[in-house]
Amino acid sequence: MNRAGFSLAALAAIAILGPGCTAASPTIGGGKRLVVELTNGNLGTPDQPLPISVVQPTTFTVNITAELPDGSTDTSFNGYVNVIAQPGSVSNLDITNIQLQNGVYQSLQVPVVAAFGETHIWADDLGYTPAPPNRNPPPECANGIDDNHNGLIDYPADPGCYSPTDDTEDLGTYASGSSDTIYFQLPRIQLVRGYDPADNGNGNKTLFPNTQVSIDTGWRGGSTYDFSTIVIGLTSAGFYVQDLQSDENPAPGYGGVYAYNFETPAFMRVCDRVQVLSGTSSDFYGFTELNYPTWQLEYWDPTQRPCLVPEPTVLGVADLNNDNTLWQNEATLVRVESAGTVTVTIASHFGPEDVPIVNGNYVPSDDASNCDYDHDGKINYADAASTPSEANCAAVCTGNGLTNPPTDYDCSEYSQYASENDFFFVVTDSSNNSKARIQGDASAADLFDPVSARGSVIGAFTGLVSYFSGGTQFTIQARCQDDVVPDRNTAPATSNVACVHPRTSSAINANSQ
Amino acid sequence: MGLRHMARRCGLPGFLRLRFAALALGASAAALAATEPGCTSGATGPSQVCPPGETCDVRLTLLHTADIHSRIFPYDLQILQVDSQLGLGTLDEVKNVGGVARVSYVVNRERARADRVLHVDSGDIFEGAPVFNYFDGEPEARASSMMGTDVMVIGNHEFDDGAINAVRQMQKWADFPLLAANYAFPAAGTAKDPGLDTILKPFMLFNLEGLRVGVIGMANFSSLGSVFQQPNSLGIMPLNTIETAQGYVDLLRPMVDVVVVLSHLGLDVDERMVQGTTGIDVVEGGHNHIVINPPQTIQDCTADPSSPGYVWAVNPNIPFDPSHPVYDPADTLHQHPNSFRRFCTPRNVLISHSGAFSKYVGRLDLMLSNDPKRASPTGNPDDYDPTNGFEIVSSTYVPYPIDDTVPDDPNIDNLLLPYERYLDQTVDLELLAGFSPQGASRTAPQGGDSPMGNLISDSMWLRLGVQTDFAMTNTTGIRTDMIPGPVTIEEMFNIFPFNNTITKMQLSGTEVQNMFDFIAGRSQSRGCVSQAQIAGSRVILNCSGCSRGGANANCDSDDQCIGGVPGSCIDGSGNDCLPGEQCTCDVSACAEQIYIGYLSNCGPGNPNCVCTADKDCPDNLQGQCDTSASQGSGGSCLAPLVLTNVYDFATSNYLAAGGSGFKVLQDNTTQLNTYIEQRDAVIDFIRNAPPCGYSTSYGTNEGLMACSTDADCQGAQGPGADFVCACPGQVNATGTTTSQTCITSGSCDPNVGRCVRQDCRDDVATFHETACQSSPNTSQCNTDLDACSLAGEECKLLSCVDESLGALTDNRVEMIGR
Repeated sequence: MNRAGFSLAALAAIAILGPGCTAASPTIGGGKRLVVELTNGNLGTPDQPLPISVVQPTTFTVNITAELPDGSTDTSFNGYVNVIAQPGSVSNLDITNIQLQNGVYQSLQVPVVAAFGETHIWADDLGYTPAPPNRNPPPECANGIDDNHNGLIDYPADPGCYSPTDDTEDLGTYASGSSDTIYFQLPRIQLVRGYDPADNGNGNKTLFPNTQVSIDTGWRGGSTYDFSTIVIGLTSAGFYVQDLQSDENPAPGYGGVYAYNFETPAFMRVCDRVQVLSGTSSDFYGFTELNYPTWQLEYWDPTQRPCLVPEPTVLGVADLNNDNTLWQNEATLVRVESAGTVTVTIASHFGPEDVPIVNGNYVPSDDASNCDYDHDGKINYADAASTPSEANCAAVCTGNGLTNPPTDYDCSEYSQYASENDFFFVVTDSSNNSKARIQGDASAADLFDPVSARGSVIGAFTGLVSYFSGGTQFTIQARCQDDVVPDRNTAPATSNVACVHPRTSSAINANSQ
Repeated sequence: MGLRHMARRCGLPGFLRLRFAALALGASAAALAATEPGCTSGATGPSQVCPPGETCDVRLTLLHTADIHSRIFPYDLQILQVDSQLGLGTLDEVKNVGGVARVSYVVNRERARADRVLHVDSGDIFEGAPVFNYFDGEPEARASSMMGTDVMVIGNHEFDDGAINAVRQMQKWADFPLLAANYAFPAAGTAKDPGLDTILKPFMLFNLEGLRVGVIGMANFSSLGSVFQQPNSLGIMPLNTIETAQGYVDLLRPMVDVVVVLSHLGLDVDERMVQGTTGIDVVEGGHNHIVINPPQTIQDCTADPSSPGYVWAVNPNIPFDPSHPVYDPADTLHQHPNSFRRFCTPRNVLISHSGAFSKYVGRLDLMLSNDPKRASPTGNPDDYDPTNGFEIVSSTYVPYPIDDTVPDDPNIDNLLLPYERYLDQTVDLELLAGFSPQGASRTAPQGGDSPMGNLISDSMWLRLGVQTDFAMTNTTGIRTDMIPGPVTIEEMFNIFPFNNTITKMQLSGTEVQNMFDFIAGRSQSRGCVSQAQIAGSRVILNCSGCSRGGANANCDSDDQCIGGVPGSCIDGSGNDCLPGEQCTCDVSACAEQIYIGYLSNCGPGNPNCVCTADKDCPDNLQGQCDTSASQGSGGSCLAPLVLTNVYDFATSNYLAAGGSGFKVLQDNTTQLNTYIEQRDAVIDFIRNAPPCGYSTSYGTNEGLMACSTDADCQGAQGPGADFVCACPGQVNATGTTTSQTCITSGSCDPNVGRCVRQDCRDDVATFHETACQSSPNTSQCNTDLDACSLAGEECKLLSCVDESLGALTDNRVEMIGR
């Protein structure tokens, strides 16, 4: 347990590990390799990256050469190699497996789509020789014969079979190589969310499913920002950020995204500006998330700059009845408020008792909006033939999105509240006798009890829009007590102060017994 | 063939194992790096990967398994969202997955399909299935050896049967190196030395056809809190994570091209380790049971994320006491006096996690280059540091699902056969304990009590010989959900693998309050998900602060604050309180309301303490009116905690001993271990329950409706369920061995015909037919078995594990401020 002990041990280790240091002539490892040389195409630079395109390809020309370990061309190699782009994909499937002649393929045109950031074109010798699946005789990996006499027959038993269409049971050399770096722009949040008019992306589904993406936050190093991406909300399992799109006119929306972090992010607060943000983009039941996020922040210092959290978008009846508007505002701050001719009311039929059945009809009432008849904490949507039927009751009380509104517009299904804290607002506009429903979640507002407040008009309800394809779809989640204003005559707090809590502390995470 | 068997391994022999403080390591390693350029590993391996004088690309393939947790035999799993997205199966289906024979097949297939390849395992191969309870890890270690594991980091569950067992099993059966760089050990041969230093190495070097790969093992601390107490039963002295990782990186960098950290730290610590160091290329992690697909990319050299570009060579915030060099995170008295920064260029580092329970094998392909232009972290060749050897320029990742379409490795099957037979002969793991129509989740949507948690805590609370005022077990001790269908003894082992027993003790009201405050703090730090499951009690845990008095009290140390959570006593700058400072408590979570039992008399107007709302109870406290069992007929008033009362309490011996940080229980001197295993209590609790459809109103011995045909069962109890008439000999099987459908035939004597759930009869019949699949004569086996008839008779007796048994969420643990 001292330095002398360490040094002795370390020196002894080097003595054991290091005989190769003194070798007179170096020996080269046996692996072959592929060299991928970019010969044509604008590669971009870190400062001038190429634009991203999800549908329209950017084409590059490459030469692929099989090399022996000593660097000379392996002229005996006439096999197929697999060509991919990482990240991104090669849009022409005909060239994803190309055959080298005498160890060389010249001037291969590689069209690349959905690439971003630092991209490389890979070539791999997988030992794959493509053959038509219905060929007669069938490919070696689907002919029922142990062609290479290793005791294993066909795909998937023989590891030399890459697929049933592989015409050789032999393994590849697994030599590989990649091109020089091609620099593409990073995607902004709206592109990750799926909004890309050029590629018919409507914002409902991410354009980068299950892909590790780095977001273009607008930070250009130091204190330079082309635009700002701001932390607008924290939850017990992650945080919301919004690209303010101040450089875009008109701003397209779709600027918010939720980063799912398992736990409240450490050392973060609303108003922080994001400099670096990465994560795995995916749609979780339709809600676009960044999973396993990593980030770098410019901590908000009130003495240096104002808080840049934007004021919420106020949603009226027409907005709430338009899914596209709600998609546009997913993961951003919105508000429903009683003002002018618009009134926001908490659903009046909202209580823990089971919904009674009257003459075969499900009839919710003030105290009875619970469709979970077996009290197992969930609605069974497959019991429509039973009586009582949780599914039929839920159709009356909850419905399913805009296409199937509930029969009882003033109902808020209680088990949904008991299990998920969700309840319904009814928003009416007396100027045109229109109305809409939207789900709310006030669990972060400790002092607000929506059950006690059922049937009452509230002043304003602010929050972040989330989506769940499996149920009632859009929900406004209040961030804290500031977001709930029960009194119609009280103005909501402005965004630069609402829910701007002190910075979170460190967190622990473990999986102990 | 692949190159696995040509890989050259190097590591420090036991007698030269490094035993030194982290600081000494860092300084000495830095000196070493300056004097030993370009050493190669292995006496006979190739010394370089590129042609002389040239740079080149090279690919390295890492096959990754983690947290196998004794799931060496295939098992049934209900496929949930994440697993379905990863291709393990269709959402909500029950599918046969896992098993190391399948894992071995995939590992060796992919090994054959790669050039330079290593199979690395991130630890926790022990604990999680009954085979561990009977063989203490022997088959797990043997299977890992046989599948050709190249290197593994030790996990915290390798110590579940004690450090000596880990040493014994690994010494005897592991033919792969086992790593833990961040553990130091007592002097060999002393009473406190269980001999871990004989099986653990800090790192391994591999020469893969000239590519020199250093693998550093970083073992777990977060679930081994006891190691911070010296001495401890494991004989482990913890070294600081970042200091140790950087020290070994600096030691190895001159000798290797690539540095892999094989980790069981957990993702959040992996991230902090990468950010606080420079020189790591990739982290293969475990402990969290997650798949990161594709791997996370994170920058190193970002000790301050808002100002990247340096790490701490000596960190001022790391406690360092020269007279006691063992790292102790709770030591706030010794701030390092000689801090200085080490400047570096941030590089991208990959963190990969590949799931758990033998569900996946991860394949990570790294494209590496030592071309200064391509290997530069900025694109500027001047920013390439040749000391870093080959840098990752690109990568691909595939998590291969291990399901029933994957063939077995016959060698592993042969290895495991004796263990399987022994288990069959000595413990009938396929014995049915009950039938669960909808399964029971171990998690709750609102983060509070869960159906499985309530079932388990109820079984402890009500167990004959325990019968305390209330009971509590830890949420993370429940390892998996109960899947819908037959409940087997094996499944109970999977749900509750630990051999924990029930310990009784008496707690003062103040101790109860402290315990729940601690639970609130621990829950808050884990996504506001309750870390406790309880019975006989109700509690409201606030994750967003504490309205109780004292939340901002003056303090000198953390333990003076509510909950005693580390870091809760802070100075005016928000830093940990140092001696002599004026500090206040910053409590971010606490137990707002605690109730134990019910009030017996609520005054003249309400002698029976009946209520429909909190205001009906004398104290009118939030959550005081318990209507969870009322079925609309009114609830009962709960009794608020009285700090001066004494309460009988039951928990696991693990928590009673201070496990998972429950120091408040560890300090209690009234403990009595009943030696009743928690798992046995749950099994007995289930077995004592009536079958599905039970009602005393039917007047039959079984409590089930008598019947002659299926039509007679239409009025049988059970919302949303179809009932059929189970009658021996009058039922036909029409399904397949993987999905059986039983059809009642003819008319049954109502003295023997009873209405049972249709899904119970079908699922139990399918379960039995599955057993015939391994029979030499499947058809004869099925005929002799008469599975549908047998299943019908069993469903007349099998306990129904549903909400009637308490397998539901009733808000007894309410989380607010999520």
